[in-house]
Amino acid sequence: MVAGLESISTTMHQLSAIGPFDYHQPESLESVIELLQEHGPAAALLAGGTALLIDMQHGELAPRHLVSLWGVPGLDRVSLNGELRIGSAATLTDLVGAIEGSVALAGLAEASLTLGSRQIQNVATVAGNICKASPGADMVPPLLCLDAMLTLTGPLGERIAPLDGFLTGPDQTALQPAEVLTEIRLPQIPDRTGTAFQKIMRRQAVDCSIISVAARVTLEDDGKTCRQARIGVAAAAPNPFRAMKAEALLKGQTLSEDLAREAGRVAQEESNPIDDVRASAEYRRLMVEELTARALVAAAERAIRT
Amino acid sequence: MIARHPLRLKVNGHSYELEVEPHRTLLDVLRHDLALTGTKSNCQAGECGACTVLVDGRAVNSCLYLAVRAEGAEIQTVEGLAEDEALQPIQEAFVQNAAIQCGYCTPGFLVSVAAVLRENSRPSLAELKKAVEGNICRCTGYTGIVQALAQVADAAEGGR
Repeated sequence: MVAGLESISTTMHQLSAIGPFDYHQPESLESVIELLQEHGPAAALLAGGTALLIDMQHGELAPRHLVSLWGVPGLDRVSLNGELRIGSAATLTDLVGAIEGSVALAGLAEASLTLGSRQIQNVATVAGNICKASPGADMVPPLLCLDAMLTLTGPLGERIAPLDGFLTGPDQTALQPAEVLTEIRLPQIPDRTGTAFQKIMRRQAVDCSIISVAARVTLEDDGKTCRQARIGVAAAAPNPFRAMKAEALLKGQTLSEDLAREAGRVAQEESNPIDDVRASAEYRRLMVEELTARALVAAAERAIRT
Repeated sequence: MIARHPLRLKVNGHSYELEVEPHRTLLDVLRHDLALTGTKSNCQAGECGACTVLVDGRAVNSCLYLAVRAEGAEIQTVEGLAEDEALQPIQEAFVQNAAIQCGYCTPGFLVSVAAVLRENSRPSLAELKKAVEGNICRCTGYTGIVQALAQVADAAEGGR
């Protein structure tokens, strides 16, 4: 064999190096859970697959069974009827389509439209971004700001848990064995609410966040006093978190640029970033302050407009 | 022994009935089983966009798309863009602006733009640029590519 050809065929082999695995595409949630119970740690749940397949290509995961959610009817649904309900097979593109034009949910749309490329948004799911539990999971800060609740379905039935507290470390969640995140629910959003999302990357698109921050501001009937504020920060701690001390600073106050800056400083103190290939911890702290201030100002401007 | 799964696909208007192992990607099946080599294999991680195809009208990275998932779907690849010999406007614009250096990224760019044009016949330059965020030209030949996008946007503007 010609040496060159041999190396080409080796490369080809490596490129499709995922698997082998058994593929299951059950048509009911009950069957999904049964399969996860039957195969235990040898099984992986497949939603969009944009993270899972890369982990498999890199050899970080080698499940013997893939259990897909694609055959379960209704899981790809997103509905906005007072409350927003996002099925666990719904993609970022599905979400954006359902919330288009909602000022109160603008921060959620901004996070979706800056996560990966269009190609990724068309396949990756909101639920997958949560359950991957990456420190820089961009969908989590805006969902934290909107008090997202998770429907978790397992062998013992269904339970509801807040997103805040669901992530228990990098790559770790409070999911029990054979339990599936089936729906993300956002309670009815109060009037005079604005949200915004800010993130920085090493380049302007399609990169992991150095820092991302989401903010929500809900105003009193007077249209200027802050009734409720939320700040969610990603890539500045083992999991995205709510900067609750900074939030407390804003309640009952009129939101000014100075106050937003002060909240940013407090959010920075609440963060615990690390040095890595993307940025230093010091730079991340500075950006937590800056992006918090920007997100709060943008959210307040939107709240006033509604 | 891994079970094969039946796979019915419609690719560029042609129907196919195949059997595939579940770990094979749509990219792999298009290139090796259907010999549609216009779709390029490169990063295998959803970062470069060379493998972009349309699945039911939506642009996806075929390297991160298991073939079994495409069961019953309509696929369009770069080979399916031109109707007979008539190039689409974005293809014409790439030719006229010499928006090609080595050409490896070109099919992905064309398919990403085609995805936008399916939904919006008059996209702005900003919308077209947003649509190709996930396509990388490793030759860095972006000037010609942006000129080609601008030509499509200008033509849309002129039609308003």
